[in-house]
Amino acid sequence: MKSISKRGKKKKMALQLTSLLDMFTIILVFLMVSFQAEDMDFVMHPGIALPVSTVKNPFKTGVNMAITSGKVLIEGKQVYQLSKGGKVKESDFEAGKIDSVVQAVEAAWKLHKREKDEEDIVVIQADQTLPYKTLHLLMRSAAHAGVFRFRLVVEKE
Amino acid sequence: MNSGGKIFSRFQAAREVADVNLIPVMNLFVTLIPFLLLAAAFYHVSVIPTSLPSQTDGVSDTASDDVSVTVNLLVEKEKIRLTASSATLDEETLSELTLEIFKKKDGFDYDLLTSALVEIKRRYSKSDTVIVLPADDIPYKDIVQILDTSRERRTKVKNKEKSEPLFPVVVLSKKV
Repeated sequence: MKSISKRGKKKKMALQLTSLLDMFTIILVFLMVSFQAEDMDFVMHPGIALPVSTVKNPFKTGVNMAITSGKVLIEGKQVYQLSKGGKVKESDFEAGKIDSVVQAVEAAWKLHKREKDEEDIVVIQADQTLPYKTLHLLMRSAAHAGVFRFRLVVEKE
Repeated sequence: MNSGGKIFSRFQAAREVADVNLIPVMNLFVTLIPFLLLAAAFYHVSVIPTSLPSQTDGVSDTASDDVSVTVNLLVEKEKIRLTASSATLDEETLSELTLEIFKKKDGFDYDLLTSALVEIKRRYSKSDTVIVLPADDIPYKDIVQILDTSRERRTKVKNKEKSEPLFPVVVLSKKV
């Protein structure tokens, strides 16, 4: 930027960038700390409050199952409606599985295996208030689809 | 111009020469920040590996001379019952490991559970499996807390946090 000084000479005016640079440096350091190099094929469901845990295991991808207080989603698609308080229908509980969940997990796992060559794992993100009865029935349903291993998603302490 | 003015103009000239061109650095920062913003994880998640009990054919891969126990945690609304099972130990020895922790006003005494698990681990160091059997109405949050307690013991030594593995292999099951 150029301006004319009092004496009529053209004088170059430098823009003061030091403070801006300081701010950028702080932001850069903060972002580098929170940088996640791993590519996580995981979308956090907005209606879920995850429980807090001290575990520090690395994230591993698999078939995504999200359990909110009102519905069950496999790979983002709703497959089952839960009643108030995250409860399952008594008929499903007596049957020991939820057919729609079995089919959805089976289809998703086959797709994962074909496209990504992943291990048979179901990644469960469940609301912290969910009763164990529901969680266990959904895990059993996944087991009916041939997947016995699970990863419970938690928020790091 | 007086001598004071000369000194000032010299100083001014020196300052102008010393100015560093920060524009390339700024350009770099402006490029880096959006990239890092996209890749930054503001929500730190982790996973607890677990499984359901399954029956497999074939011989167990555990050597017969390794004495190990499997810890069973029966979690109910008002108490946690700790029992142990083993293929090599007798009933009497296993019954010594049994413990019941009752819920107090402020919840379960997880420190007591940790110390019981530490004692089992000390006696049978090859043990690494815990079977958790929560009741139907136990919230998921409480199960995660029990899994945290049984997985490792966290201690602070000289302000440094140290973790000692206890029973990292978790099997979630149900009492029938």
